[in-house]
Amino acid sequence: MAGDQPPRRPDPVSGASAGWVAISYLIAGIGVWGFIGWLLDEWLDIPQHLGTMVGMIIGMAGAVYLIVKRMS
Amino acid sequence: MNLAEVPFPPSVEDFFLPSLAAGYWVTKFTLMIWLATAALIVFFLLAYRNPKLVPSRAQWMVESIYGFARDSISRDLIGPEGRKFAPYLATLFSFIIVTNIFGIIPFLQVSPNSHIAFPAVLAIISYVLYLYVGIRKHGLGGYLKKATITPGVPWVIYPLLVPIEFFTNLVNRPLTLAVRLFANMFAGHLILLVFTLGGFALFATGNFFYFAVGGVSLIFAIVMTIFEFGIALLQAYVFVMLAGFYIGDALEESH
Repeated sequence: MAGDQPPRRPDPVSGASAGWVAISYLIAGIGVWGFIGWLLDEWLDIPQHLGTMVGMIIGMAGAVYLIVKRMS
Repeated sequence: MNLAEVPFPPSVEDFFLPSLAAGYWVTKFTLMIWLATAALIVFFLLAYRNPKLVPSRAQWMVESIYGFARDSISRDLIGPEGRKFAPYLATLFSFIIVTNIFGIIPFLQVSPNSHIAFPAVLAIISYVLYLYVGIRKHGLGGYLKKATITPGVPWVIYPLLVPIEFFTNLVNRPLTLAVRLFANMFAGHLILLVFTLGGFALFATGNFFYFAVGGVSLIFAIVMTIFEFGIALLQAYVFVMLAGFYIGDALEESH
């Protein structure tokens, strides 16, 4: 069939840099929004560090969204 | 040294070598950096002093290092503009390889890169370089926009994404570049210390069973030394590859 092209071997160099990009987005997302959440915790006296937790989850979601956008 | 005096376990203190002159401005690390710089200059000059069509072994090595930096890094990651960065990347690559391999050369035996200062300087040079080429090409505003705003994203979520992009592209990159090299060389040296000193410390106990385990520990130290050689090459490659990738990213037209 026309669709049966042999799979293109991904370039190892760009594959490795894509991996580093993904990891640094995740670190940055969780770090930045976790920190903003922690600041809110301290400022508003939110119990149980809920702000930090929610911040980290939001940051991770943002990071995953960015990775998808940048890689596609 | 008496076997019973073998210092064990090794600690971070083992990385702070005594001063040789001028306070702590000249230590074994300083000498090794001078040695690496001098060795590279001499090697490159000698190997390319009289280039031949059929290269000698030294000329072949120099050409492969430069060819690797030019083709695999500059051309593939930066693009047609990348060629002018090939000398920098080749220098960076050979300097990191030499200083990394110092970690397993007898009597040198520790890599300067196991101190954060040396990878930090290399990372700062690369950071300033890619900021400079990015700002020169896109202008300050254009470069910041490129570095912080992902195209094709609804503007409503900019407040969520811009801090992440800013942190990733402008803060995280130099930090991870430096820390990755530093941590690998630090951990490698510590592992070699643990197995070598551990072997001698076990010999010093005089107990037959511990003696056998000490032998295994020393054999493992040799295995880890070979492994460290691979890590030295790999980390130099990763550092240069990422530096090239960041320069290419700074030069790239908007996505």
